[in-house]
Amino acid sequence: MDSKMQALLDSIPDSPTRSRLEPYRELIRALRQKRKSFAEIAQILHLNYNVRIDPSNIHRFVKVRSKKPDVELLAPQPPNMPSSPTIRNQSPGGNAAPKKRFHYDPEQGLTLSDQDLNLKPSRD
Amino acid sequence: MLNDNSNRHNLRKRVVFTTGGKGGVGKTGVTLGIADWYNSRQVPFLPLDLDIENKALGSLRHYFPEAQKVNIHTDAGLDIFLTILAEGQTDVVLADMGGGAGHITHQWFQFIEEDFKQLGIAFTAVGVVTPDPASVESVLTWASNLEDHIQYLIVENSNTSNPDFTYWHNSKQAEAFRNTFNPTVIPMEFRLPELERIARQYGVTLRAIGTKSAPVASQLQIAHIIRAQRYNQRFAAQLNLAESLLLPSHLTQTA
Repeated sequence: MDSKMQALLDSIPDSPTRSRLEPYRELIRALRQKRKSFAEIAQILHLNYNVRIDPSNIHRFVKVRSKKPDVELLAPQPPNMPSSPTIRNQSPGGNAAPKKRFHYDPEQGLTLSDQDLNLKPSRD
Repeated sequence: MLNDNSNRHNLRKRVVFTTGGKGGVGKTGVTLGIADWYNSRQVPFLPLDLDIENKALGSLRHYFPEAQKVNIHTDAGLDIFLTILAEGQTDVVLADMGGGAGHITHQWFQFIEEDFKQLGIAFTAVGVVTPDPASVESVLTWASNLEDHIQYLIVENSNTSNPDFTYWHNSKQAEAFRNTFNPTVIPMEFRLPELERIARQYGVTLRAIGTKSAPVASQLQIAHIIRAQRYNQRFAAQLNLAESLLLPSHLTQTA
């Protein structure tokens, strides 16, 4: 970059990029951990801080930041999901993921019996 | 979970959507049949066309010009969808999901699920299966991702005069799905392709032909009119069996 370009660049101020929700980031994170919905968070912000914001904007704020390392902002604490004996749990690590009741592996495909496939047994 | 009966009395809205994935299995045809059912019961519903890939005569908007088109392949589109659900005035939303809708929709759905519950919104996934095993795989993939977060209505679409649903009826995976979620399964009979073509060409539903409310009906043979009436009536009778999956609880007659 030549000096003229650099001078031009230096003369242009940064655009504000911070969301007006940024000051409430920790609060939103804590509320999501308390399993509050976006609509409820919007209401809390309005009542307590006079911040009027659409729930979908809070959703977007949370989602954008969830792409960065602080993933815990993303989701409320998962509810305790009841498990049933069917199918297998797909979590290879066996840690935080809730147990799945049903799993289908597209790589494996559908499995029919030989009878259904109209295959005759081998004579060997 | 939405499949918990104790929560159902709080559900004031219902979103009925066809599961995306395999194209050409008759998703839009089934959606139109459900739309006819709502109209026959005078249940107001909001049609949403989420099938951005289907821009031709087969799209929901071709039949319902007022249907809003939403691209749910993007976060912004998904947020529009959320806003429509949260703030819309109608208690029933009928959405035709695109063939390509998949992973991003699953992620978003799980992400937002708690809010749907808070808003009293229940979801019914309408899976359409045909003799094509890919149609079965598509339904199972959705179920694998969304599990109990939604309820399931499966339509066996006889897209030939002598359909063979072996993969849906007899595969181990489909059996596991049925045993796990106990979906309501209804048939949709084979329909005369010529009649389907006319309906598609003029952007009218079978009910509109059968009741002669569509102008094109005046140009059709009486045999086509009668067939449209019968197809419509018989599919409606099947949908009656799935009423609780198609309406919010306060609108069901059998509640």
